[in-house]
Amino acid sequence: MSPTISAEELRLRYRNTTAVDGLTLTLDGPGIYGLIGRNGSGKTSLMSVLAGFRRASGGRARVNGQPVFENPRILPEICLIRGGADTVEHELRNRVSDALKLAADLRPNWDADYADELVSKFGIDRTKRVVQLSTGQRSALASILGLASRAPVTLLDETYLGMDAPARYAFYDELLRDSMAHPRMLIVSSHLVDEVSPILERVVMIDQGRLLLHEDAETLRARGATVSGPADTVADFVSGRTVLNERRLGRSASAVVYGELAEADRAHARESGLELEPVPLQDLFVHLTKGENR
Amino acid sequence: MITDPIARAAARRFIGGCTLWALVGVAALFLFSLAVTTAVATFAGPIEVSGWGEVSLPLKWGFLAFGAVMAVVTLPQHVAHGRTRREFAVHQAVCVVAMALVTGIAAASAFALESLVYRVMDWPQEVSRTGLYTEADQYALVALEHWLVLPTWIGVGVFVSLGFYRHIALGAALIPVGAVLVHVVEAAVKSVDFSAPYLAEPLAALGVGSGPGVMVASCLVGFLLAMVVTWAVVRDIPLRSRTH
Repeated sequence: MSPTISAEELRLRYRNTTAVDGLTLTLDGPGIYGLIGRNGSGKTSLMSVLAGFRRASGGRARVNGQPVFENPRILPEICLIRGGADTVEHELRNRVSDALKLAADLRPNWDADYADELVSKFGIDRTKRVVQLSTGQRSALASILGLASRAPVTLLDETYLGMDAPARYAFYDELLRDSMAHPRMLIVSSHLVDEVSPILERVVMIDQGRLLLHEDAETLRARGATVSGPADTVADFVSGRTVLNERRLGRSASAVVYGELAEADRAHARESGLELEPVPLQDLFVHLTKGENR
Repeated sequence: MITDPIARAAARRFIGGCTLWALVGVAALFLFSLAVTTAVATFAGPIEVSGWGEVSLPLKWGFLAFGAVMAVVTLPQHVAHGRTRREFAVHQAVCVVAMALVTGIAAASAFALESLVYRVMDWPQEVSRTGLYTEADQYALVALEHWLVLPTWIGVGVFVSLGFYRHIALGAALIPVGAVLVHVVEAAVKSVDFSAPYLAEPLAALGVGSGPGVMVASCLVGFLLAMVVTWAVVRDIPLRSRTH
């Protein structure tokens, strides 16, 4: 069955704070989805409701057409791994092997061989207690619990926190490889947009608990362009357009412009000796979520 | 009967694990009581009471603490791995009863083991207490008293700790509730006529006399109320994250 998630007018409040504010969203089918938003934009809160970690204050959250909260038929199909090793914080006294055994006992689609492979890949000692692992290793362990769960809906909430760069890139590679080998809905939340964007198929951007956009990643990248070439020519070309980012190196420059370019504009750019590339999601993200600093 | 194999594995892990730890805890406390008794006999004079009988109260407090830790560790683990709070509530209730059952048997066995040591050392195995058993060799009554009071002690530990997990004010508010429940079951088994505290007069007015039946009913009600409070706390408890 192709996994689907739907949120209708979803709300989550913490006393005086509205974390998710009437969000409506439908995700359909396997793939890697990026949930992107600034710190405090409501990513963790949204994922927590979608995984049944919290009851929504209002609206509806459904997975495969069924309500999520306290639903024994649907909850085993969902796996949420929270960042900063939150997921393993209650396993601190346990050994790594105990944490894996617990997941093996409780996760219906658990792949023990794959978990073993990842434990070796990330260099985690399974005889160590979780409390003895570094923060990065705890995050890696949490990521292993998420990936090896092979849950049809897997939500990875900034699981890279604490990992060093090689571990993060190994995690992204593994995410891509495994999603191709075992297609399922993988939702990755992040604010390190540059790092994660190459593996994303669809992008959900939220801000202040509201949905900003939900689009195919390629379509989103086509919303603008990175123009590079001689500085004067670049300046002429971007004149009158919305410039998201600009860099200059000697006589060369590059600028990120927002807004779709017509075919005539593209032809003109090429004739002028300019190179056009898709817009980096990071720049688009900064542009779309800029506003008052929080 | 649990038919879902995953739920069965969850129950086996939860109940089996806690029961095993309960036995380990009783064994450790028993060895501790023997060590203290030996030290007292060596350095402070003759032994006049059962060492195991003296740790009866610390044993209950230990189980209250065990219930508290067990709940706040196990609930988030199970919910994070796709199990429901409802399932946790049922499993923890069975777990509490299972722990009380094995602890009752273990406590009676500990008196039996201790009697061997005391016989060799020629120490009197006196029990200085009020309650269902007043002699160390009343093994059936020793087990029965633990079966009657421990479920409430452990249950109180469970709901108070989950209250604190949910919100510090809720946890603090549940402490007096727990204290009342523990007092009711302790008073029921310790009163000479098995009457239920606070309820003796109303029951008498209803024509229900005191007796073992009222005592058992008081303990059962104490445990059931602990489970009801636990369910009220846990039914929609959010899993905490570092930010919320």
